[in-house]
Amino acid sequence: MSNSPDGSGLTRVQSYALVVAAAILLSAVLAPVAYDRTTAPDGRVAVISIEGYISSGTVSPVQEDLREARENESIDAVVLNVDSPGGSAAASEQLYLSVQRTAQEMPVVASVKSTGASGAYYAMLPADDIYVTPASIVGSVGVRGAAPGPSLPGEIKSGPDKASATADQRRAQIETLQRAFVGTVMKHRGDVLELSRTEVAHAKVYTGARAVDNGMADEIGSTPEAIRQAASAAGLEDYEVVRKEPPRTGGLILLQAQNGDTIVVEKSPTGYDAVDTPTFLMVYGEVQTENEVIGNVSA
Amino acid sequence: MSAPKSRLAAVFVVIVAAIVGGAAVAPYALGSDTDAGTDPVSVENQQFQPGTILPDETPEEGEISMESDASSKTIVVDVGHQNGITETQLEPLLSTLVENGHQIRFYRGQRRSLNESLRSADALLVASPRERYTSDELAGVEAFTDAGGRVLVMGDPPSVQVSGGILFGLGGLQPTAPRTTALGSTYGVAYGSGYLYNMETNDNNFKSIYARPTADTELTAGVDRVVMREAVPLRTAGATPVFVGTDGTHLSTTRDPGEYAVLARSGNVTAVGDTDFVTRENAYDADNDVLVGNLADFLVDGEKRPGAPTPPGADQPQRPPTGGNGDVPTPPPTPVPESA
Repeated sequence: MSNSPDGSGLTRVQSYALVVAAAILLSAVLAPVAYDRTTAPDGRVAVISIEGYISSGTVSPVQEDLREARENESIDAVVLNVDSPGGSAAASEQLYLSVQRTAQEMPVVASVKSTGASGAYYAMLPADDIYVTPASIVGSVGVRGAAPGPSLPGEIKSGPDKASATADQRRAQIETLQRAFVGTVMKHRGDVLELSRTEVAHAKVYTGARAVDNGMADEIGSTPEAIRQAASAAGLEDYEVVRKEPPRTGGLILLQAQNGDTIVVEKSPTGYDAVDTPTFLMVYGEVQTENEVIGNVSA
Repeated sequence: MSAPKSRLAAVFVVIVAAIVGGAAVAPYALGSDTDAGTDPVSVENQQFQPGTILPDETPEEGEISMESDASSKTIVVDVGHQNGITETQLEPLLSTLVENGHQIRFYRGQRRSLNESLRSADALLVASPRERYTSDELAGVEAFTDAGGRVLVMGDPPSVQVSGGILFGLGGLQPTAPRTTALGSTYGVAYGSGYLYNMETNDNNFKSIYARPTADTELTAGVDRVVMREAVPLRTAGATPVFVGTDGTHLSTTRDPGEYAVLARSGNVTAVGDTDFVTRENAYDADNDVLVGNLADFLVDGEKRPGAPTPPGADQPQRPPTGGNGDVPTPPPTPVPESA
C-alpha cells in the first residue's frame, strides 16, 4: 500500500532496501541466540546447599530448590553441599523425601563440607555418591527427644496424656523413629556398608576416611569433585554450575563474627518459643535438655 | 507495488493465526513439561511402613504380692544421705510392705543416728545415697546384718546434677555418683562404672535391658525376666549374682559384652544395680512386679535379734562390746513413724 502522490508504490530499490534492513534487524536479534546455542554447555549441575540446623523453616527453601531442579529441564544433575549437624526429625525426613524424589529423576551427589551428621546424613542418603574430606564427619544415626517440663500450676488438661507422655510412650516413639532412620540407612547403603545394623544404630560419627572405609560415605573429595561426578553421571561433558543458596530468613538470628563469617543461631532449636513442645531431634552434638530419651548409645 | 487493503488484512490474520496456533501446538510437538508444579515423582519407602517400624509395647499388668507370713516387721528407709530417690519412687515396694502389715520408718538423719534407728528395725533399705556412710554407720549396718537384719541396697549410674545457680553461671553441672562403694564392699559387692545397654534385645530403648535369673532362689521365684531402666553392673566377690543381663548386654564404658550382674545377694544383704525398676511406671513391666514382691519378702524374712547394732564407738572399727564407750543405750524406743 502506498500513499505516494503519483499512485505508484515504492521503487524496487526502496523495497530491497526495506527488506535488507528488516533482515539485518531480525538477524541482530537471532544471531546471539544462535551463537549461544553453538557455544552453550550440554547441561547444568545445580549445587544446592543444606547448611545449619535443619528445621521446617530452613528446609522449605531447599525443598523448593530441589523441586525446581526436577522441573527445570536445563538442570541435569544436583550436588548437595552439606554442612549441618541435623535438626528436627520431621524436617529431616521431609528433606530426605525431597532428595529421594530428585534422585529418581537425575543424578544426585552429596558433598560434606564439615558436618553431615544425623538428620543431615538422613537427608543425603538417597544420593548416588557421598563425598567427604578427611576432616568432615558423617553418621550419628540416632534420634533423641526431650520431655517438656512440668505443667503450670492450675493447668487443666482434657486427658491424662494431653501435653505429656509417659517415659514408656516416649521410648516407644523414639524407637519407632530410630527404626525408620536405621532402616533408611540400610536401604540406601546396605550394599556397601561394612557395618551391621546394630553398629549403625550405635550412632557414632565417623571422620571422612573412616566413613569411606566402612561404607558410610563413598569418596574422598570436595565439592568440585562431587560436581564433576554428578555431571559425568548425567552424561555431561560440558556443563554449567548453578549455585542455589537458600535465603536465611525466619527464626534465625544472624551474627557477624569477627572474621566476617556468619554465625547462624536458631532462635528456638526445638521448634516454638512459647510452647515447650516435646520434639524429636536428629541432631549431633550437645543439646541441653532435661529428661532426654536417646535412641542409641552415642547420639 | 502496492497491495490491496484486503490482501494485507488477510496476510495479517494468517500470520497472527500461525504464531498463536504454533504456540498452542508447540508444547505437544516438543513434548515439554506442561504439568509443572504437580511434582509427579512418587517414592516408595517400605522402611517407613507401620509394620516395619512400630515396636512392641507389652501390656503392663500384674500384681505385687508377698508370700512371706512374717508380720509387723519394721523397715527403715534411708533418705538421710541425700539419696537420689524419692519416697514416691519407692512407693510400689513400700505400699506392698504396708499392705502386708509391716511398718515403714524413714531415716532422715535429723533426730536420731542411723544406728539408733536400726536398733529397733528389722530391715534397711538404702537407695542411691549421695552422701558417704560414716565409719560408725558402716559398722552399725554390719552389726545389724550380723544380727540377722536384712539390707537392700539399690544404686544407679552416676547422674548429672545441677549445683548452685546455673542461671547466673555460678554453679555447674556435676556428675554425682552414688556413694555405695563402702556400703557394698563390706558385703563383697562393688558397683561398677558406666551403665548397661543392649542394642539387640531391649524394652524399646538400649538402656532398658532385660535381666534373667541365674539360679532358682527365693528372689527369683516366679520371675522369667525383669526390665532395668538404667542399670549399673555389680561386681561380686563374696556375693552371688542372682540376676544378670540377657545376651547382648554391654557395658557403656568398655563396650564389652558380658554377663553382668544387676542383682546380687550376700547373706542378709541384697544389692541391685538399678533404682528405676521399682517405680510405679516400671513396676509392672515384664516380671518386675514379681521381683518387687520377692524383694519385699526378702526384707521381712530375716530373724533379727533386737537391740543390734549396739552403740558403737567411733574409734573402734571392729564390732564393739556391748556398752560401747559410755553411750548408754536407751531402752529400745518405740519407733515413731515419721511417715508410712
